[in-house]
Amino acid sequence: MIQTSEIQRVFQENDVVLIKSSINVYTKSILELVNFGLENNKVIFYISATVPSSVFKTIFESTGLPHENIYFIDCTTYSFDITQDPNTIVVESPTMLETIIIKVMYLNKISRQNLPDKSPLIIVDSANSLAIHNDLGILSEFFHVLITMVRPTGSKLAILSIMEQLTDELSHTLELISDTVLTE
Amino acid sequence: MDMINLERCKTGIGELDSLLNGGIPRGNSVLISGSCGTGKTTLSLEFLIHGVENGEKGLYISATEISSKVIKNMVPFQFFKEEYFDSGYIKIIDIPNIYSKLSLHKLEFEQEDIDKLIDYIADIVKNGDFKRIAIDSLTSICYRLRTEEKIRDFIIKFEEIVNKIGATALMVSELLPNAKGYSQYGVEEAVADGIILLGNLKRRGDLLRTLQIIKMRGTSHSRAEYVMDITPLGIMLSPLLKGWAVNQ
Repeated sequence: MIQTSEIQRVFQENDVVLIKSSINVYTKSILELVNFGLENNKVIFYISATVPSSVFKTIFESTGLPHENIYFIDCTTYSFDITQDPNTIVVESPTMLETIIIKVMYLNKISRQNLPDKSPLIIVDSANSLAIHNDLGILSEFFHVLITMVRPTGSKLAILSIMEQLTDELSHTLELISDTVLTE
Repeated sequence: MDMINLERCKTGIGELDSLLNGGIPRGNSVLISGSCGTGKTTLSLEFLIHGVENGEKGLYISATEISSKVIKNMVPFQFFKEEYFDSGYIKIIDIPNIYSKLSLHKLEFEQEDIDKLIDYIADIVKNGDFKRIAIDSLTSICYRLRTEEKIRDFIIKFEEIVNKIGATALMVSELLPNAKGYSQYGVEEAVADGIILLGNLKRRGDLLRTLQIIKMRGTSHSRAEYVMDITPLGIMLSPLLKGWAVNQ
């Protein structure tokens, strides 16, 4: 499992980190990553394309992680269960990649207004899930545009991936766009 | 690098101003073209509200909605300030009221009716010292003008008013969903100083709003298509990802 200290070390030197985690410890790795963000005065933008944001909120609550500074961009709930949670923005489909980019930029503006002392940590959960819905061409373009847009804002970006389910092609693309790779 | 260093009228929509190299050249009259639900009215009102933040008064000439409804629809936006409307920094006038005041009841206007309408708008603009104007929609006015000559004449005269007083105008142009051009009658797009095209892009079942600057006199500008989203902070843009279209 990836430790908070390890995450801290790589983010000191890099802005975009690809995290390859084993499926057995995937949730634990996410918790370490969120913990790193909260301990380091960050506001978290959590792009959930794997499971609905409500599931993670429950997990964060049960583990005692304060989640008032965690904002979700939920691409899995669709519009069937639009939440009234002020910390959640629903994007209707994981194929609406440009809308995800805009929501990140929107949250960035909002957090600059409301939490000016906190810098964003953007978590993409996960590259594998986005690859189910999008072909590799548009997915690499998405990450490239996202990185180009968030880098000047001082944000950090963590791209999560499940190691056992990564194809060579996807893995290669993600490594190309990331500053470094953290492997569990 | 810009060819001509013209004074800019910032729309206040950050990404759009960047695509326009700093904003719309002041004095331009720009068509905002698009079919229903593409964000034409929101863009026009956001332009006016940001204008007040820069000390520029705005005039909204409405033909599609009554003024109370126009204001009500803007309430959810964070940039909305009701006092701008209450204090007259933004004035909304309904086209049917203008027609009624000027006794313009004919379905097809004659030249003298057009002159009356233009004179009336000119008076309001000058007396109110409005620096930003939005006509929503130009198409509905054109409906009463009918012929290409009359439409051309109306737009040219309107542009003269706008340019003379150093204002900047947005003219909403309503399009049918599969329209080929940028305006209903074809004349509007030729006469306007600029065209910003708003669209609906259907992609694998998703309906994305898009924005593209087709032309803008007096400045170099982007010609790429962008995805547009209407957020509580107003209009925001992202580059349109093209990976999906590689083979199309």
